[in-house]
Amino acid sequence: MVDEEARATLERELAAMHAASFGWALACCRRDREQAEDVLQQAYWKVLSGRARSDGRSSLKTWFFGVVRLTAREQHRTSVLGWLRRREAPDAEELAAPSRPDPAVASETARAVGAALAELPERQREVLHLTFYEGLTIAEAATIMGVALGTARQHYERGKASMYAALDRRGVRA
Amino acid sequence: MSEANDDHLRQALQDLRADDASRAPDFRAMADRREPPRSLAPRVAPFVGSLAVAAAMLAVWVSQREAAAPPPMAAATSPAAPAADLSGGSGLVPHVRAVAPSRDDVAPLDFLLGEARGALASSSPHASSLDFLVTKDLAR
Repeated sequence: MVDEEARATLERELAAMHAASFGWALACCRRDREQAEDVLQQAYWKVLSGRARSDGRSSLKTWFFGVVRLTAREQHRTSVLGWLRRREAPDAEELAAPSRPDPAVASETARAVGAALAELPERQREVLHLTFYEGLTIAEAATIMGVALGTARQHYERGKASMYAALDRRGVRA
Repeated sequence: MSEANDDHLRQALQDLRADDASRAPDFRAMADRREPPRSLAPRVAPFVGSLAVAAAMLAVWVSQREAAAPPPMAAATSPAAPAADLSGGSGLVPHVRAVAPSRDDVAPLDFLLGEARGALASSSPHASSLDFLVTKDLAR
């Protein structure tokens, strides 16, 4: 357990980047809001209980994003229900109302952009999120993703092409 | 890919970011939870129950099927199988008999041999070889 003072400091820092962390959790969970909340809460618990500790080699944001990413992967591996959810056929209600907006997202454009992002392969989605959405450099994205810079660049270029195509299909101009 | 396109994409994702941020859950509520996150068990429990029921139904079905199936040897020596009439010394028909484990598997052959050749040609993927046998049989 980390001591109370250190915990309070850590909490302030985490609170300051909470919105960004939630956005990253969404990206790691294919923009599934419920899963993203679970993952982020688990990541907070790991960090605030001292189960995950930074080695100080990277910024808090870079390190914590890595924790979120790993937590999402763990959840992805262990969630049998998630496995079923990804494969189950859409129910009749969904087929009847395919354009029903996600109640968690107000803007139609934001919903389309989020859906386009969600359909990208994992690495492409991650690198685009970290660079275009979060404003990090490709090198910082590579550190969080745990890949070489050249690999991150490849995913970045392919991801942009995939994203433009996905937005075109949805009629969103980018 | 042009920089202008990149700027548009950046703007689209920044808009998404603003939208996400406005809907982010409360940090305090998440950070104040001092117990481990909710476990997988409650979410998996209904699935495990369904799986157990499905496994039980499969076991019953397999046991019923095993009970209903005739012994393999009895089926192979069934006196009702007529294919012996077709051998004609060719050596091919006994081979068909050897791989047919039950009366049910032989029955379609009975039907084919009792019908006109047109029916044979249109109903079997092995029409050419069976056609040969039937032609030979009818010629006798």
